Amino acid sequence: METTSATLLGRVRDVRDGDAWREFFALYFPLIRKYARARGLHADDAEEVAQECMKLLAQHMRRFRYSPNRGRFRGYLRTLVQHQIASLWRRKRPRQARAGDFEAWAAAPAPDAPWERLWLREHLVYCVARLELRCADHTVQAFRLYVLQDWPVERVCETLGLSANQVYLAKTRMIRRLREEVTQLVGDVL
Amino acid sequence: MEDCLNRDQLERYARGQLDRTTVRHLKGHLASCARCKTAYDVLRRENKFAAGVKGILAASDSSPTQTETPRAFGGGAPTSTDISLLADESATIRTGPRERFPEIEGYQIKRVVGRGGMGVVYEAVQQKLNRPVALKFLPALVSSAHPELVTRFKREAAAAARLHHTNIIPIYDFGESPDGYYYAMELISGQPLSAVIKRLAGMDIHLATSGSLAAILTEPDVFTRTGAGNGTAAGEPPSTVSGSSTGAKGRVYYRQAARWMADAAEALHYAHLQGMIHRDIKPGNLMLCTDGRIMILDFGLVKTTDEHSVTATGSLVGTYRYMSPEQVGAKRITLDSRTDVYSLGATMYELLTFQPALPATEQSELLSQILFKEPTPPRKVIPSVPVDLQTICLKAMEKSPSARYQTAKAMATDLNSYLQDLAIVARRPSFVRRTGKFVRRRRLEAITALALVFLAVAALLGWRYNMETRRREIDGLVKGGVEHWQQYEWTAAERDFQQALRSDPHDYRVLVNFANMCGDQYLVQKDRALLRKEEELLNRAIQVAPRRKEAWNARGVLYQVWLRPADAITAFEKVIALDPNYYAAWVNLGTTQAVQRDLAEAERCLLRGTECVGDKAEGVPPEARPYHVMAWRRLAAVQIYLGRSEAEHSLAVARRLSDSKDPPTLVLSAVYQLAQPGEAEATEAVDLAVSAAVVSQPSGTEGRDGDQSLPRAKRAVALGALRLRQWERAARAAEEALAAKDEPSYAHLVLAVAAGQRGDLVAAREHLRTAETTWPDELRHAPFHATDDGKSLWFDTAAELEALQAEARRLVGDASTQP
Repeated sequence: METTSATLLGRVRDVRDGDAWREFFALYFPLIRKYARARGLHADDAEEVAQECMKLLAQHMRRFRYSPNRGRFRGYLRTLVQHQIASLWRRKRPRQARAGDFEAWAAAPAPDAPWERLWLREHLVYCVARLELRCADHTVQAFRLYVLQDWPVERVCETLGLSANQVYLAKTRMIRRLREEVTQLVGDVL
Repeated sequence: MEDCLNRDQLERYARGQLDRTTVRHLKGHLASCARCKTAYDVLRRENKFAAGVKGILAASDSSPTQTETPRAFGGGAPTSTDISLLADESATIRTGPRERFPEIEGYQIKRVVGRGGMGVVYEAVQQKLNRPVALKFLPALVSSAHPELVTRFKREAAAAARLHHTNIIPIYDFGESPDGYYYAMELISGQPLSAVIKRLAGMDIHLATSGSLAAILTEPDVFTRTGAGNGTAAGEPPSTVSGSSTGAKGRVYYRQAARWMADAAEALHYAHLQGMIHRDIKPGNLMLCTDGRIMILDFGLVKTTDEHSVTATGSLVGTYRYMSPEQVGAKRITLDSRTDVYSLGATMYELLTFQPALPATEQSELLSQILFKEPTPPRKVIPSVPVDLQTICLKAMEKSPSARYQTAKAMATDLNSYLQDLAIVARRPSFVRRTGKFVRRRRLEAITALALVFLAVAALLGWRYNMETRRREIDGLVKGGVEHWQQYEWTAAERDFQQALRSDPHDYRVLVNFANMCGDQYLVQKDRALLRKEEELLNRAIQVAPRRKEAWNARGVLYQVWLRPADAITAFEKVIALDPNYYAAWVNLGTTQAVQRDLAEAERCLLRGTECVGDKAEGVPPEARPYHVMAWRRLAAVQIYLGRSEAEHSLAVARRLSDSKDPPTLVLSAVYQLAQPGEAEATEAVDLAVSAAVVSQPSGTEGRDGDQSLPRAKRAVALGALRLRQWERAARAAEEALAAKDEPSYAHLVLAVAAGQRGDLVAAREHLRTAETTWPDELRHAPFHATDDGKSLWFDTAAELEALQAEARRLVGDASTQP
């Protein structure tokens, strides 16, 4: 179930694959930053945590061995982020957070709901964005308007100059591919 | 089959866009047509997935920011900065615009002044007294989820409330309301030292030249003026700092920093005396108030000595960067107040250098640095840091607790000495090990006393056993052993003791005397195996009679010789616990403290020692008298160094008890006279020193009993003669001191001055140069060096040497040579 795209992680290990890194960055940078915000950090600090984590990831991904049975990238990343948040608290806000509080927080019962939610959402966002790049424009638009925005089919047809069947086809195609992507990246969660 | 549904109908059916009759018709068909049923199921799954996606992305579609849309994907991907999705969990910690203040009876909350993970700090007014307070609040939301936080919160309040000190933030009140737990404390205005350090560091002063550094640091307003004058807890830093130059080399700043640290150390010591260890001392927890006071905040991690359950002994709480090695390394080690000394030292380091003592940024690296890396001396970072402050700082930050200041008070004392321009007590770290050669010799005297005591006891012990014969045999062996030992006939002595142990392996007297002999043998033969042997014998003795003081005392002496002063101190304290009136333990403890440079403690212990001894010669057996003299003499040495007038009395008693025939006492008396101004005193000093030299045994036995009286007497004669402007005599005495193996730099400086005064500039330069090359290592970086040669405690001071050096340089008209 938990299978962060082995392909993406695998590609990122190859440092020469700049695109892979950009994709990786585009996915995980916002995720970390939002999580940090959700953990009570101010925008600047959240940004800093995300930067720091990406820096470390850049160093560590080379050595990260993806193994579906052994470690999970999701858990690995969460630990990394938590450490960075804790260290930022210690560094920048000595009067606002104590290591002890962090401990209590870190020891808080798993699963970490905000993390799980953000994890799923950001991967979904990433998948949608990826699909949109690879699919024909009208397919994407039809999907957006008809599925995501709940427009009546007539209005979609009128706006995009498509037949109803084309809209339905776009919907089916997009959903099928999205499901594939999401399942591959985060598992069969929907 | 022509009834079959098309995609459009299915889509509309799923969306509920069809009228009732059509729906009924469709339902009927779906129930009967497997093909349409399958198509519909596929669609339903599709829609379910789509609904899931939509639900997750819902908040995202309203995203206002384009900046975080991944560029690589051409924009338009639904993203969001909205974190309301997650607000449920973190609302209590985050700043929110529509925040509701909790309601607490008796208080009116005005605004938020700070936040921690554990709660919020509000500025509030205590209505009954109409006084402004800072209210620390733990929301019920948080506390219900983490009951352990409540315990900690309450403990923090209770601990802090027990402390009443100018430099510890006072707690007024605490309690609980339906909204959560709270406690009220004084509302102080100011800024934490971390902010001060940050601001100074931001000025790049560590990169600046000493001149510009001074300009910034000596701006007096910088540290007393804070932006917020209206009673806010976290004052705003002043926006600009002018660079007008006053004072020299940041001296004003460093004095200020020393004052803050001294106050903080005093306050900590107070808390320690109440049985509380702060455990989280760091710049962020030291508040610089607008009135210039330093305040210790957050006794949140405080562990009281009577309460162990809440914070597990070795658990990692506190801020790593300022944690002591034992704190980060602790498994089940009980932390004591010395951990706070370390943290205060680490804080001081940052005040001195504006950068952390240990540079690691990674946690794991930091932990290893805390455990193993010595901090870069502050003067290597900023050369204008005063030497004394560097010494104090590094001593506080010693890795081993026993090498640090043993109390925060001792650190405060040194800081205050610096502030009063007195010599400081701390020694440079590398110094501890080197003093060994002096310490080693001190032992014979103490041991001899023990041997005598045990011979006396032996007879008494004999009665308590039925096996008279064996007793007598053992008595004989002990007596023989001690006699051989006194003659340095180790093999014979060992044979006797071993034989005695064969008769009775649990004989306390034999074990202790044998152990002491090993200690003495070590002094001569320098074989460490002997120390281990001594330790083993003493451990056996302690097992046999754990409540008898002699073995414990011997163990203290052993550890002193073994350069394990902390263990030595523990042992002597054990002796004192067993017998608070046993003078030897007090004198030994005081001596160890002095060599450890805790002069305040040393003086206290030696005073106790002399109290136990008394100042009467009557009724004291002649063989015990030298030890009584020794007690008074050691006290006198400390008192002379500390400039106490009581030294005169102590010396008088020592002279009376020794019939003025004790060379070390005479030498000390001479030193005391030399420390007084005036020609009569100098004459007196020379007379005393001359008589000391006369009664001193000639050198040659030096290696055996370590008496340094002769060279020191010669040195005193030379110094006194110099004061009396008797150059010839001074030069002659200096030569004799050299011959007697005194510290050569003194003699050469005396020779240089004497030669200079007589106009022999060539010889003067030559001696000056020699003096500078033979300058004692111990005094290059420390103001004094305390040694114990077995007879007396002795202080060599840098000030004395430097004064002579300056005089010599003046005479040869040459200031270019460097020590």
